[in-house]
Order: sequence, then C-alpha cells, then structure tokens
Amino acid sequence: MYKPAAMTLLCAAISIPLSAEAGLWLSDQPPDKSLMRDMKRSHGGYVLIEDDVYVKQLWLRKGDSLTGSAYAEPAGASFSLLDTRRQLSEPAVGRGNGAATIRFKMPEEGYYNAYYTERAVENGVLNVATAKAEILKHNCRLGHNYDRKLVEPGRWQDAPLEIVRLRLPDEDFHTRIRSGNLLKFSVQHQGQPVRGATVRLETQKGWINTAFSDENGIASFQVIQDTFPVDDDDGARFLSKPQAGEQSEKRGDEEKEGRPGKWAGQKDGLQSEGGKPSKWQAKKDGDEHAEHKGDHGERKEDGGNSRWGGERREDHFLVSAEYLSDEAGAWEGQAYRQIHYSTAMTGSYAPNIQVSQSKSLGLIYASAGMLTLGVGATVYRRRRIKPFKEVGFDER
Amino acid sequence: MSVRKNLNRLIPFMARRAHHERNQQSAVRPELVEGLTLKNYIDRIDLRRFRFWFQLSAFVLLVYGGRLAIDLGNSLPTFACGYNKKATAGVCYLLPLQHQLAQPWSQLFSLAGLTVLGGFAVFLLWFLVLNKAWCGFICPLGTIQDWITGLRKRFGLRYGSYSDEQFGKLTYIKYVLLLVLLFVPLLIGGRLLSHDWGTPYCQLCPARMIIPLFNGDVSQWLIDFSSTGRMVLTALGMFITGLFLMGSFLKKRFFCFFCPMSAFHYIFSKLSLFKLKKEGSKCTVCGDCYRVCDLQIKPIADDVVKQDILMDDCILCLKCVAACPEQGALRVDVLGKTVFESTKDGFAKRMGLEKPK
Ligand code: SF4
Ligand code: SF4
Repeated sequence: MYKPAAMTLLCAAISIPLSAEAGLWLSDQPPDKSLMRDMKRSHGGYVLIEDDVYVKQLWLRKGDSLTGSAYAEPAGASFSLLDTRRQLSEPAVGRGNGAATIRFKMPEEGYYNAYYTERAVENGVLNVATAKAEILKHNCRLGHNYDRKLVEPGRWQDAPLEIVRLRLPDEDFHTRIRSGNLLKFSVQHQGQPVRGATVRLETQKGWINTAFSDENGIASFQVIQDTFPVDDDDGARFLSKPQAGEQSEKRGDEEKEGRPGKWAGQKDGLQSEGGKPSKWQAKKDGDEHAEHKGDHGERKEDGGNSRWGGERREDHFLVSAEYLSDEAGAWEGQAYRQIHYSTAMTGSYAPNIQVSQSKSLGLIYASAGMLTLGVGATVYRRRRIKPFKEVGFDER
Repeated sequence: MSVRKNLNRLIPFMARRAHHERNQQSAVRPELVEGLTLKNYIDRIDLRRFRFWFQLSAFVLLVYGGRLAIDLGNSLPTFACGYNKKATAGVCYLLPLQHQLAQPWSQLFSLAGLTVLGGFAVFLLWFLVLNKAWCGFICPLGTIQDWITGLRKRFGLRYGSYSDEQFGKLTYIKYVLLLVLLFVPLLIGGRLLSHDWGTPYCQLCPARMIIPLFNGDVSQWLIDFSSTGRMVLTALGMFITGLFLMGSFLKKRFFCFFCPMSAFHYIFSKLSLFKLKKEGSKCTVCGDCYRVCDLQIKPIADDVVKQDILMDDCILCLKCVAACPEQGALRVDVLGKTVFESTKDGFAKRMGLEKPK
C-alpha cells in the first residue's frame, strides 16, 4: 500500500509554507445560465441528454470558494477521463463562454472521473493544479441490481495529486452525503497515499475547516449541520404565491429547481477528525455575494418555494488538497526547485434526515393502529353477544 | 346486484335440490378415480399443502432473491417491495408507476412519456400469465397474512367477517387508493403539489414497513417530519401498519380487501388467459366455496348465471375450487383448457372421506 520512499519525499512538504496560488476546480454550472435551460437534473447533477445518452459538461473555475471563483480560460492544460470501467482517455479541452470547458458522454452506469491539469513554472516552483470532478451516472429506469463494485471510487494511477472520497458505509447510487456523516478523503499522488497534505473543506455558505492527511493519506471531516428547512417550509409552500425573483426560475425545466431558499446555519457541526484540529473560520456575509453570485449561491433568490421537499434539499462543498515537494527539474525549458501540487473537487450534502425522523413516534402510531382495531373489534364482538336474560315464571 | 338476487329467488329451492340429487346419482364415475391421469392427479391435489410450499418458495425468491443477483425487473404485478432494497428480486410496479407519473407534464405527454407505456406493457405481460393468482400464490404480503392467520388458528381464536353492508362499503376503499396512487403523482407532475407527496401509496403501504423486516431492515419504521406531506403520509403509513398487523390477525387476508394493486389487476383481468369459471347448472348453492373464501366473495356461491366468476376482491387462491363438492361446478381454465376443477373425488379425498383400501 504505502511506500516508505514516497513517504519521505512527501513528508518534506509539511512544514513548508504553501503557495497562495488559487486552486482550480470544475463546476457543472455554465457561465451563461441560459445554457441550463436544456439541462436536466439527474443523480449526478445537471446533464444534457443527447440521443438518450447523458452528456456532462463542466466549466473550469479558479478560486478557493464555491461562490467567489471566477470562470477561467484554458492554459497549458490536459484533460483525462476515467470511465466506469476504469478506462482512461484524453479528450480535448474546449473553450466556451469565456471558460475552459470539458464535455463527455456517460453511457454506462457508475462514476466518471474527469481530471483537468495545468502546469506552469512560477518563481522557481512548478505549480501542478488538478481540478477533479467525480460524476455519477445513474438512471432509476435502468433498475437497481447494478454491480455494487461500481459504487467504489475510481482513481487515476498517474494523478499528480488526487482526492478520493472514500465511500460511506453501505453506500449505493442513491446514498446522499448528509449533515453529521463522517466524510473520509484519501489524498494520493500517482496512486500512493500522501501524508501531511493540507486538506481544506469549504461549504457553500463559507464554513471552512482544514485537516492534514494521516499516515494512510486520509483526512476526515464531519459534515456540518447547516441545512434545515425554514419554519414555514411545508408541503403547501409550492402553492403559495411566487415571490419576486422566483419567476425566472420557474420558466425553466421543472427538474432544475433543486435548490431551496433560506437556510439556518449552525456553527458547531463540522469538526475535523485526524490530523490537527482547526477552528471554524466563518466568512463575513459579504463574501458570499462575491463576483459570481448566482451560481452555487443561486438558492438565495428562490424564496423557499422549491417544489422539492426537505428531503431533496442540498448544499455544496469544495474540498481541496495541496502539498509542496522538493523535487527539482525543468518544465518547458524553465527550471524549478520545488513542485506545488494542488487539487480540488466539489461535492454536495443534504440535511440529516434523522433529525426530522422519529422512530419512537412511528412505533406509537403503529401501536395505536393495532390497539384501535384490536379494541374496536373486541368491543364490537362483545356487543353482538346478547346477554342472557332469565325469564321467571310464576309457578303458583 | 338486484338482478342476481331476483334470479336466485326465481330458481326454486326444490329444483336445486332435485338437481343435487341427480348429481349425486351420476356421481363418482369409476374411470375418473382409477385412471390416474395428470389431470386426475391435479384435481385430487392437497391444495393447502401445495399453496403453502408454493407461497413459501415465491416469498423466498422475491424477498431474498436479490442477494443472489436475481432481478425480475421493475414491473412486477405483486408486492415485491422496492424498499426491501438490499434483497428484493424485483420491484412492485406501483413504485416506478408513481415515479413515472410524477414527471413534469411536458415530459410525460411527450415522446419521453412512452417509457411509461413500456413499463406498463411489461407489467401487463407478467399479469396476464397468472391473473390474480399473483395475489393468492405469490404476493409476499399476502403470504405474510396467511402466516398470521395460521398463528391465529394456533391460538384457537375465531376469525372475523364483515356483514354484507360493511362489505359493500369497504370494498370501494381499494379504488380510492388506486385513484390516489394515479392522480397525486399527476398533480405533482403538473406542479400543483409538492414532491413531498411523491409515491403517496408507497408511503401508506404496510409492505414498505413489513417486507424489509425480513432482512432485518427497520429503516422504514418512522415518521418523517421534514415536510407536511411526508409527515402526514408516513404517520398514516405507520398507523396502517398497525392496522395491518392486528387486522390480519382478526380477519383472513385483511389487507387484500383494500389493496389498490388488486383493483388495478381487476381492470385487466378479463384479458388474462388464466380464468376462474363457474358452471351454474352444476352448482347446488351449498355455499362451501363461500365459507372457505378468505375474501368473503358471495357471488362465488350464489351466482349461478355468470360463467366468468372472478370478482374484484378475488385473489385466485383456488380454495373455492378445492372445497366444491360438485363435479365441474368450479374450474380453472388456462388458454381455454381446464387444468383444475372441482370433482367429487377430489373433494372426498381432501375431506378425508375416501374409503380405506
Ligand atoms: S373466490 Fe375462490 S379463488 Fe377467489 S379468493 Fe375466494 S376462494 Fe380464493
Ligand atoms: S361449493 Fe360453491 S360452486 Fe360448488 S356447489 Fe357449492 S355453492 Fe356451488
């Protein structure tokens, strides 16, 4: 599993201050929102459907947060795609609406991994940034007796740096990451675990936590409890009058309105496990509405009128990892002393359903059902038995 | 109803009696008893034992088959509950049907909506083979009710029955549930209701709670407060589960009487190749069939006019055929060929009336 040689190499990274270079990541929200009109919400996020085949398109973003990252142009990039059968291909990187974009078909059920890598030398450091996206293709119509091995994450053997989300216990294609779940990420360099990499998780609302990967390359985070339906969020809300700003949302495909309105935040949910603990840093409110407000932050405007129930609500997170290694060499004629590896991928999480479920009340209702019928039937039967009446005769 | 009643009144009791006596005389034809043909063998079958083993096998197949990677698809005309996620060998058609009907109307009424028809075609093919015998022989929830009935017998408790008046009212509940199952998803697709009301029948169905239990899964036993829709449906679902458990203890096949799948079946049962037939002229209206019927179906005994005697509540358990003492009064036809019928000989064997040899 773990090679001591690689470990020595990588351990060197820990104490070195990391570069402030902004990370790259892949988003499934286009820079031009009108493009979403043709998309459908699926188990793996928004997809286009062409000749009955799901097609995923992703756009490159540069920055460390979901809401404040700008769309980025391609620069010296390569794109690798790992399909559900772990076959690697290298489709071309495209350019559209002022951003690097990649597009691929997802004919088979399972996870597709897309990797977009940029390399550039700056101040004697080679920056190798890999934006990763792990996209599920699942269509309920195809049934659910799929091979469970397809749920396991794929890994790219040549990845400069890769974050692999390890699966939750009993995870299947319908499992959603929920508040309270312990998320485990394995940080890997060319298929080998990396110890001491800085792993940072930031939620859509701006809660940040960092951890360091342990000797097995694993960093864990417990997902924050911050997604709660608002008080008046009931089944009838969809029947209420649309609020201002919501109209435009409604024109699109119904399936698209996946995201809810107001949310209640809680500070104490996300704790790092393993590695050094760190404190939550809550970003100031204003930061949330940075330049690209309206992408992952769009839910702000739809006024709680989503037609999906509490169960369907979700929020997103961005997890990134980086480390420095003292490898010297040259890239495209430019010499470097060190390599700064970085990678980032997004994910989504949903409210903890357990907080809104009651097993004991369920049992009480079931018992009430049994009692009602049991007692009812007994009383009914009793009442039908005519009591014995003694008839007295006057014998005199 | 009234026509049938009047007709029955018209048939004088004495005529029936005479008819019965004539039947008795022409009774046991020796060649039927002696020549042990396959047909003869089937007519003499111990239906109770056959059903018990058949139901048990079907139960194991549907409730555990998924563990052996058996997949019978998404359109089964019986309660192979999809919530029994890890182990079901197929999925009850009502689950995908409700999902499909909840598609946005723009999608449902377009070419993409054809997938709904595709699923339905598969459902219909499965159904037509066995007709409502899916209920009497295969449905895991039906089998569980039969087991609970067995338990009641052990306790020596008597079973309950409905009065004619109660029967007449309660029998409509399954159609109401069928309408809920079809129209609530359509309202969701039309954006008139929230997705919180999605798969409304599954939320109410006791199979969702009970069948996964056989795989140690209690994850459905709860009330979900995440929205009003979920709360109302899951609370009702738990209450109905309680009713189911007590009800099937008090009354044979308690739930089948309210089952929307049964109502859905009935709509298409005329198309099936598997038929329950009655020969009114051979029936003496002794009522044996009615007395054994778990669903209290009266016409099975007192309707001597109708040939196609399958009623909406019937689960095609064939207990009536096995209990009928009259030669050929009740029978099962598959593709127009009689495969099982009531015979004096079979009746005698099942009742233990055969002379010791
Ligand atoms: S009518 Fe016959 S086959 Fe139908 S449920 Fe009653 S006993 Fe069973
Ligand atoms: S058992 Fe039913 S069908 Fe047979 S003779 Fe009696 S009433 Fe008629």
